[in-house]
Amino acid sequence: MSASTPQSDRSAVGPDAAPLEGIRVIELDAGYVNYTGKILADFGATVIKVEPPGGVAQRRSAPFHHALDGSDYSIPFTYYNAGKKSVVLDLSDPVQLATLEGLITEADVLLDGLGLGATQALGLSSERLGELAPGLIHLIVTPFGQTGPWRHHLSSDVVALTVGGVTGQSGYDSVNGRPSQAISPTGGQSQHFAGVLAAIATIAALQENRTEGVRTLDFAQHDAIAVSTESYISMWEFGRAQGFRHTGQHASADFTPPVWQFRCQDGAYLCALTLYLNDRRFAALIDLFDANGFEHRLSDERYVTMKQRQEVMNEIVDVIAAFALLHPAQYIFDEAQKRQLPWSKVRRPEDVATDEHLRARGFYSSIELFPGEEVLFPGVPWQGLPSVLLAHAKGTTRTRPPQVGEDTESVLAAGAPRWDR
Amino acid sequence: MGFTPLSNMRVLDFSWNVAGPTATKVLAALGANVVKVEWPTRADPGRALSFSPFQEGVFDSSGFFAMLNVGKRSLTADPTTPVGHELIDKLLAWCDVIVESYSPRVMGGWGWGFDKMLELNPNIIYMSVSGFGHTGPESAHVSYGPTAQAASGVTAASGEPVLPPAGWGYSFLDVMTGYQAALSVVAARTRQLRGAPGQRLDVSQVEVGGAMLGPMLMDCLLNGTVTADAAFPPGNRARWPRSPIDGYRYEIGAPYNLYPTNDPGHDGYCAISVLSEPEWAALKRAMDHPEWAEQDKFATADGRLFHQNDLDRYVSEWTRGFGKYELMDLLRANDVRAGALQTGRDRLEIDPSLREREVFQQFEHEVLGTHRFDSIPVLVDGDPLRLNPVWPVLGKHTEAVLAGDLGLSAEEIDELRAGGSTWPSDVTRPTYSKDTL
Repeated sequence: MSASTPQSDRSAVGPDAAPLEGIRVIELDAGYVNYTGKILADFGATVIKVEPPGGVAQRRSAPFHHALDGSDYSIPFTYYNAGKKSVVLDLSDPVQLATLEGLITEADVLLDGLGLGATQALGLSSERLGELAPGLIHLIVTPFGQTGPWRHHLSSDVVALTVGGVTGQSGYDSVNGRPSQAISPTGGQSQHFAGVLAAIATIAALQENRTEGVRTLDFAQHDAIAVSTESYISMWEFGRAQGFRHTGQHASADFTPPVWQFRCQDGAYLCALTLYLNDRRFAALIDLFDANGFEHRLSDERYVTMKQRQEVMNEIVDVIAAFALLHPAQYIFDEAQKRQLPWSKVRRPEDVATDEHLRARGFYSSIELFPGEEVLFPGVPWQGLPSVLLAHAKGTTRTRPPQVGEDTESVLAAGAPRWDR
Repeated sequence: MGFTPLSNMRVLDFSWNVAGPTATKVLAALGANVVKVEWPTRADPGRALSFSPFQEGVFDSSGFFAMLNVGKRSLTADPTTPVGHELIDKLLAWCDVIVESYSPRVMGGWGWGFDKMLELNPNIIYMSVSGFGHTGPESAHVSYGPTAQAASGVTAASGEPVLPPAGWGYSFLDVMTGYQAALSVVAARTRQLRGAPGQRLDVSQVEVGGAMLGPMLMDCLLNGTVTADAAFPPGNRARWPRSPIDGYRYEIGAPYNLYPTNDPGHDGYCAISVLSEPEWAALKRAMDHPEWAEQDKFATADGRLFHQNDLDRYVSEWTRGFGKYELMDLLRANDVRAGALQTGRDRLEIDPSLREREVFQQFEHEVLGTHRFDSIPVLVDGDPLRLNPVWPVLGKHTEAVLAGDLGLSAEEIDELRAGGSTWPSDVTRPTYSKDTL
């Protein structure tokens, strides 16, 4: 039997290795722990995704990559599963369920995203998991947690962001006193809040080096979103205030705050923070206008101090709005930043995909999505750590996401304890 | 026994405002020993952030600051004087991790480039948090959360297709960058515990934004998608009807939107999502089988997506007959995915799930009184992880850290205090209550 304990795996890892080299993770997911699994894989863990026959539903989730003849490749599946291994098991079959138990005996972490009660229904109670793998970290993510009155309910991206608090702060100014439109941002953000907190807690829990029992970490997507809205909990708790939504900017207790998002000459938008217009930045603003031959009245003594400016900020806003309509957003972004104004063009995703600064920093890494086809892949936001993705880019390991069941044979043949043990 | 897996980790925290302090709040919640370093004439601007019941010039009256900095201790030292500099040298040698969120030139300007830190502490982890990162052609750019959100695409990825970008109504990338920074510190810590040499971590908010839009950026890179040419973003929908591109929620179906209710004001909405045929049947059941829902055009998922405008009009007429919580409860009772739009007040005062799971935890703060604070929400072996109710009241812990953590003698500390090195002689030291300081 070649099975080794997690602890001996870890002690064999040298100081130059990726953070989670030697850590074995089993991922059971119906859509809740995907991102956590990606993070652990990015940091060097061996993440074995156990999928039902036919693969997880996300493999059929749009958009797709259409580069190869007739073959569709789910882009979200690729992004969240690159570098993982895939083992297919039909968990309704007792023999294959026993194989899963065998895999768990070798694991340091079980990522459990099957939904409330699903693993218990398989017989994988905490007690059973503790017998199988003493010291195991059992990370569970569900929409509303393992406890509480909402635990049985399902959610969705828009539902989670709305009931969690993000949507209520984001959207548009009220028009003519009508209820203002609320907007839930896109990108599948509802899974990222619990996903990242779960990864932090899991990696921290690994540092406990426990050798008995099970550490159960119960995360709710709802809870994670609810604590991730910056000042809006303190706004009510300490000020008994609520925010009104504003187009392209922060919600605030002020119904008509000074605008900071402007339409430019080319139809693109500019984020020009009037919120922090101190003396130095105001001088930079005047310089920006003067250098472009733009006539304005802001040199008047009515605008000299920050306090004065705050009282007439809407006059300054009108001047910035007029200036913005005369120049493209990228030009104003460049010229403003030269003068240390914390402004930016509101860039579209396609602008970000081709951004020279991000490319120079190595944010995009090249991976081999298909044999012989290298593509650029949005990287990890942690510059400085040896991650698996970066190691992959050097050709040492597989980078692409696994085909359904691609690793079933090799994982089970590599000495994993079998159901007959 | 609590869950304090980082209890042996010592963090020196020079970070300001929101993103950096969010990172160190997470580390503190997991047991790390976090010492926040400031000097009263240049204290964290977060101390002056909103909802301060006290007057200006008081350092510890911001509720938001207290939320962000719970679990940390405060040490005051002046990096610009020789004595203060030497003190911070000692702290750099003592700590495992240093976190800062200044503009890229600041730490080096004080003489603490990464090389100098390595001299003082060969295994140190140096985390910087900034808008654009410390390298690359735009490393001199300055930013706040909204700037980074605009630059990274997350602002543009929120809104209705024909309206200006709606963006995020708060600094999402301050919060998420704080989390990602804490994550990379915890990961680097596993290497440090194995004896890895010093590690330099450089987290950029724009890159965090890019990572949060991962598949969207991949669609642009792989398929040449131009979102500006399409009906994008999709409002609150999963995908805009007839749009040539995806809505990037990675789930699909209709009805899928925010719907009005009869609650007055700006917040009377309820989100509903139907992602399958059984869920469509469940919604029809909840609506008591209206005749319009039996039209052929709504019979399939594709038909409902195509005819979303009609569908949403019908559903809205029905939802206006209920309050937002009443509607949510009715839909949930029928196994339909639904969620009332919750404000800060709703989350604190109404939401029974957040209450039962102790997501907002009540403690007594020595200046602000008894209040509820955002926790790091996880149940560990069934019990909510509790915040450590300690706050960095400015300068409160200087002497305790110097004595208890650095091992300075009482005489040495007296000398520092007498020389004005632990508090500036020209700043009045506030006393908040008889128990404080």
